[in-house]
Amino acid sequence: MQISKYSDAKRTVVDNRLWAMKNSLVLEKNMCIVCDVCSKACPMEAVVLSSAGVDIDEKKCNLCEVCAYVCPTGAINIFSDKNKKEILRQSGGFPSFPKKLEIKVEKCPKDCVECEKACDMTTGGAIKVVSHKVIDVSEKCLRCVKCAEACPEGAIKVNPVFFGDIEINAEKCPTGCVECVDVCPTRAIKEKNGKVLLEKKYCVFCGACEVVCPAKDKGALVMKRNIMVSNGDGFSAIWTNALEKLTSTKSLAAAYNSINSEKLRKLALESQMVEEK
Amino acid sequence: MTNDDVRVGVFVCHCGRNIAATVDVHAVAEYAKTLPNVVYVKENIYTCAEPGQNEIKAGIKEHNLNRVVVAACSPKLHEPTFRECVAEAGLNKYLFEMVNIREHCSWVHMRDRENTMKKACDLVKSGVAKASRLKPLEDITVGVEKAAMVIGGGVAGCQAALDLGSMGFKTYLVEREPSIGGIMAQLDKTLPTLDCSICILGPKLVDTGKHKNIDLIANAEVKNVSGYVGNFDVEVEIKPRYVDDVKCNGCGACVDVCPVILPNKYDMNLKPRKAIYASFAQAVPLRFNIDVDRCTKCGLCMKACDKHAINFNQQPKTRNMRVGTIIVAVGCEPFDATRKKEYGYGKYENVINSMEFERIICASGPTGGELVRKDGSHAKKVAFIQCVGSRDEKVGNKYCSLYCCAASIKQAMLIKEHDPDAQVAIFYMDMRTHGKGYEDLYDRAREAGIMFIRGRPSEIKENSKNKNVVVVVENTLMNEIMEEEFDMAVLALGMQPTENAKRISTLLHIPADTSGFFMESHPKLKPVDTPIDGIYLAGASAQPRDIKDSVMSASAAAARAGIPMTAGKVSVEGITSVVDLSKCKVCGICAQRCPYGAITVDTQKNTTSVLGASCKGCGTCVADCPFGALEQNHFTDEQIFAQIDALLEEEPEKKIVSFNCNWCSYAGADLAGVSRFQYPANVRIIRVMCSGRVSKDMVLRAFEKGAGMVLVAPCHPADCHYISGNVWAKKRIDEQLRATLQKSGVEPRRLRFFYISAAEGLIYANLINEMNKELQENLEKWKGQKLVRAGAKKVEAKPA
Repeated sequence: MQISKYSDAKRTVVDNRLWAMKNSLVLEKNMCIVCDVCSKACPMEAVVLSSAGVDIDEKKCNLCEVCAYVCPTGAINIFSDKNKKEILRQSGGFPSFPKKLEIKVEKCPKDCVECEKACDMTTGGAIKVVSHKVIDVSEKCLRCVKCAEACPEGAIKVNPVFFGDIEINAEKCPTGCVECVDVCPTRAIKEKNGKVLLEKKYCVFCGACEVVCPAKDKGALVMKRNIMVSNGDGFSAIWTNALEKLTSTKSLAAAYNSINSEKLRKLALESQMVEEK
Repeated sequence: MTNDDVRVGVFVCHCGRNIAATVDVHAVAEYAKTLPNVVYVKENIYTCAEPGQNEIKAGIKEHNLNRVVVAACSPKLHEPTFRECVAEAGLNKYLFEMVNIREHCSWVHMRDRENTMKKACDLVKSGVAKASRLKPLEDITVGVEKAAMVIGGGVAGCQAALDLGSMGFKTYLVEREPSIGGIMAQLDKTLPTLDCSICILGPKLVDTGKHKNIDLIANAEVKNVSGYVGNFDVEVEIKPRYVDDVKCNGCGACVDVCPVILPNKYDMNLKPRKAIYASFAQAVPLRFNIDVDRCTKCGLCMKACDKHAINFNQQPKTRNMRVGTIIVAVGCEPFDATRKKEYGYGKYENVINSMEFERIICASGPTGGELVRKDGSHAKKVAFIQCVGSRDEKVGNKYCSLYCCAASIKQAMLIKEHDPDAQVAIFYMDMRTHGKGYEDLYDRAREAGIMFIRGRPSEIKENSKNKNVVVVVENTLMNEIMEEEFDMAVLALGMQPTENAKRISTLLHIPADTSGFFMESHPKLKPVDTPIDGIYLAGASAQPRDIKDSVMSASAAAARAGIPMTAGKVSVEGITSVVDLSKCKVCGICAQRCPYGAITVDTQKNTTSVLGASCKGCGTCVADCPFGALEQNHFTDEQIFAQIDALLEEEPEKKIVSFNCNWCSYAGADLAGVSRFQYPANVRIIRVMCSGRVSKDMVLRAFEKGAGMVLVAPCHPADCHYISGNVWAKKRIDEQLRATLQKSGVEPRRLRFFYISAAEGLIYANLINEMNKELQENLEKWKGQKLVRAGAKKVEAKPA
């Protein structure tokens, strides 16, 4: 009855199977873009990242839900029996992220499918016009701005989660290497005349390119996330850990100074002081 | 004291006709009169009877005797009697020596009067030689701390602590887990009455937790123990809970917010728990712990706890205490069923073990008490497999675990109680329902329609379609091979000693038997004592025990532990080792030999000291001291050498010298006597407390004096009364000395090293017969072999 793992072409499942209860982590491989967000956010360092894909170390994983919250494509889900396990969020430990797209559907012209046509991701389209004024946005949406650009009425507002800097110094790239082009899920990196070209506005700072870049140490690719936008703050070290790992220290400091984190620090200090007495 | 001062009185016993029928007692008495230092000889019909004892006392007074030798039966029988007798006459009780001319002489050589007579005389001479060199000794008295420690907080540990606490002794109860309760807390119902386990245990746990004399130290381990009876110094390490014991009020708010889900050990990993948890609902103390290895350190529990009890900075704490007695109640653990590969446990999901069954059938278990399989369906047909990890040489557990027959019947009855239509079969080798009311339980089970099938299943297979299990067995009563499909199979796990038991065994120097269970001091008459004074056994760490037996043994151990604590002092025999610091080179060999830690070697102060109260008097250190700096009181080199010399004065080439340890081979020879197993009269037994006392020099001395053969007879390897004396004896005598003999021109076959237990009288007699045969065959050849010794230890038996 110990924690077990099995893996096939479609998914990896970490199973904490108890006699009458099943807790599991399900990683849908076809939705995973092999970015480094989950591996950085994981407080147990249980996510093993390689160019082959994302793997979970079942000996370390304790199904704490963080990877499921931060995954930009919703490829990871954690279940308790058949329901999603969301103890961390319900107890205020981790905030939610802003809605991916805000679409003013009343502006939609009849028979317009521009947004659907514009959405161009390696994992397939994430936005779908079901019928007039009914648009379906799937978990896959990575918050690039292609649909918003394409919308003739300007009805789509995209809420990015990450802000940061990215730079590709093509002259430092190994000759003929197009690894980043292959993996970029929003196709923000393109190849032109054997050279790698970046369209910054489509970058969602997922980090997939950085994972595969063979010359990142030499400065061929530099990516830095500065800010992570969330709906409020989380009251937990898991949240501060994710902030620290995923963003620059500037926003971490901001997070520590936010009211909740201050409280946490106070509590820690308090219990220590009482101990000392 | 000059030689003239030694005045030995010899009392030769007829023992009715027991001795006198074979030995001419009068002639022995006359012979005794010719021995040096003997000033008074008296024959008694029965020396042990009151007239006999009065004659000893009168002899001491009238003839101013200061040494007494009684030639009668075995000292194991009457040495205490006569010691008391001489003490009453004003003599130090250690100035008494006993010569065994009954068990070791008259009873075992009934057909050879001439040689029996010679032997009796030799033995008396040897006794007088030793007696002349005896020194007065005092028993060592030590104070006893009126506090006790109980290690292990299962039902046995709790009972022992409650008993000791209620007797008024301060009792420290140390439990390794966060809560006391042990295995009993995990059970659903108890047998034979099928009453709820936690309902009867819960109040006991609460009582233990709040008893004014019990200091409950949970989540802690004993790290170090030193000292001896009455004065054990114990170091206990308390592991951090990361939750403040004092502030936590057990409300459980932290548990709700913890995002980490882990299997719960208490529920046999069948139910979830969080990274912050209390062991179980009735836990004592009801405090929470953080599984820090699996915790994400998210801090949500800190927010939820309005008592601010959570503190990740907690460090392990050490507590030191001094106690007079220790009760070991570390219990046992269930056998690991994955070792029985043929039963597919861990591979087939519907093969479960008996502990998992207890949790599943329990109302607070993972399924709320419904017997539900992993796939959610109800189990309607269940098989119980007995003796999984018991009576099984293949897995190394030869013993019967005692509780499992009745426990499986109980579990079968519980299924019937939940679902009268369920079919239950128990596969057994023998049904052993030994306890009071257990046979009634068996009868009720038969009436309830539970099937009993005699046969040990050879294999369990799985039906891959419905995950049912198929039991393959030879029904030995019907003489047929059966293959029967069941919804579920339950393996009745045997008990085995815990991993922790080994650590405790080394820590406390208490020996374990070949199965790993702790050994009792005596299996029948001292069943809860260990060979170490002041340490007692309770519960299933000594042998598999069910709840009732565990509680019984715990109360017995508490009563035993109460004796020295009530008396406030204990006395230890004065036959301990002493160091002659002028000869000691502080090499430390003696400290290595001592299994009791009684010898302290201080290389800085350049001293070696023996703690008399810890020394049990085996003499192993004495025999192995390369500088002759140690001496064992009452068994000194001088005394034993004098015995050897006395025994080998006449016709030594025809004699076999036998060094017998007091606890095994001496008793074995006594048994040969009691059973009248006959053997040749040319053997001369010298009694030592332990074979570890037999030094190389003693054996060499015997050969030097021309002994035909020498036998060293220790206890069997794991049975040494002094834990490891026979191991050192084997090394010294059996492994090293033969080469020396070869070099010195003595055929090594003349030295024998043979294990004899107290029960092996016949084997001892046969051994002597066989040795004598060889001696007779080689008499002429061996007679010529002269032992040449260079640089031998100079211990002369000075003329007394």
